[in-house]
Amino acid sequence: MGEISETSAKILIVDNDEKILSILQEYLELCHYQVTTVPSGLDALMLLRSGDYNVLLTDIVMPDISGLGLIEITRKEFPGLPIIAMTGYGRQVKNLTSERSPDYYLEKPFDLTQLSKVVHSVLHKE
Amino acid sequence: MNICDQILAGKSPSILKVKELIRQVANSDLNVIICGESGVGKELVAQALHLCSNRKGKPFVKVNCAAIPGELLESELFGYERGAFTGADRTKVGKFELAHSGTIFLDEIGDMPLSLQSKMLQVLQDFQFSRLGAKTDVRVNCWVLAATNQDLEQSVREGLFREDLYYRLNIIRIFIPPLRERPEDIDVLIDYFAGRFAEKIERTLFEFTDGTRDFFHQYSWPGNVRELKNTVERLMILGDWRTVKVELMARETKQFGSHELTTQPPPPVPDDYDVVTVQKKKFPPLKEVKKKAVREAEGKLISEVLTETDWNRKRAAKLLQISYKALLYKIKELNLRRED
Repeated sequence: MGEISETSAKILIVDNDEKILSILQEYLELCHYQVTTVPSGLDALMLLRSGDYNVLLTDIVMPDISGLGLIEITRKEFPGLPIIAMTGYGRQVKNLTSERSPDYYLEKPFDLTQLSKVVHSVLHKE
Repeated sequence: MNICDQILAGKSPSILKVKELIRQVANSDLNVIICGESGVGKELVAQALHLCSNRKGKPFVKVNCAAIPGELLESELFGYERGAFTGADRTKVGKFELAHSGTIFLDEIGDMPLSLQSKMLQVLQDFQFSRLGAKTDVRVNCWVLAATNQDLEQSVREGLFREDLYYRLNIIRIFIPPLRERPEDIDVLIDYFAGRFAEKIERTLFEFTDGTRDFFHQYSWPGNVRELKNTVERLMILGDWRTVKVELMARETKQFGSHELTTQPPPPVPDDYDVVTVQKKKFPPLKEVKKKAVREAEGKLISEVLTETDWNRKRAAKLLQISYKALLYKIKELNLRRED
């Protein structure tokens, strides 16, 4: 993937917790990213299929399309798109998420500075 | 009209969402669990998924896990070799093999015995299994759809359903709300079933007037869409609205606990009787009241303990005598927040 500058990078964040969405959006916009947030996997998939994003940041345990489902579909349809998974659930969910090989896995609660490092890292990966 | 619209009638936001979900995931091959009360149309959603997918010309095999005794369910699903047990005088192919290259629909999956759930998990992980009495494994390629009217999360907490299997099935979750929560679908469903049935019987003795439709909107439909369909068809055959209306009223009153009608037949209802005044007061189902009371009590206790421990969740979990993970789940479910 070619270099993408911070200000042109578009991040799609999916989480069914509106408060988390709001916090992550505010923080990543301060880091000068263009951020879109949606509360469900279904909304995210529809946006991915109609839009153009540089990073997907997704919760795992969600209604309708889970993060696990979203990662699998994204890997098939958008193979170059970096995926960062995040969840606060236990071992079962963690193992299932790892099986789907996201680029990074963040365990909630996580430090926001860690998130910005991870986002930066996936955008500048060769 | 596309397949979804042909199979699933309705215009409520929740049904439109179900149709959109079907369209978006139909070719994903990801495990799907369809949830909802009895009679909402879970099997129809499964059929719609299959018909909207690339597997549409291939087998669609349904298994009702509640209808088959637990000890027979394994052989039904996975088949057996000749001589595997007394009475196995020939090899039998199971439903998973019959569904190869197509779709298998496991209805009432919450009733699957715990002992069989581990084999089910293996199939979902490795796409292979062994028939009873076989020495080698069989590989299958089929899309797995499941359905339940139970609260599987609760079943997991009670140790009745495997947690790992639960998460493997919940890759895509389609929830169909009960009919009473989407009254805007009632007229659409009346017209849909009346139209189809009229073609089938080539006549109709009944016209759905505004008065009839009003009653349909007032009624709570405990049997959901299946009950509405049966009622429409019954009306079209009998042509007798009075009889059917009284039966529905009796069914609803019995469900909400009026003891008068359990001992006597319902009184005849005159044509000009205002149906709405018969149901002066609507009572919520007892199950919902109980659920709400439990939620409130849990929320209050957990909040108190979290405040007491200064939101040290590990300590709080110990005091509440639940696992740390269960506490995290409760905090999220009850939307508990720390007040600064």
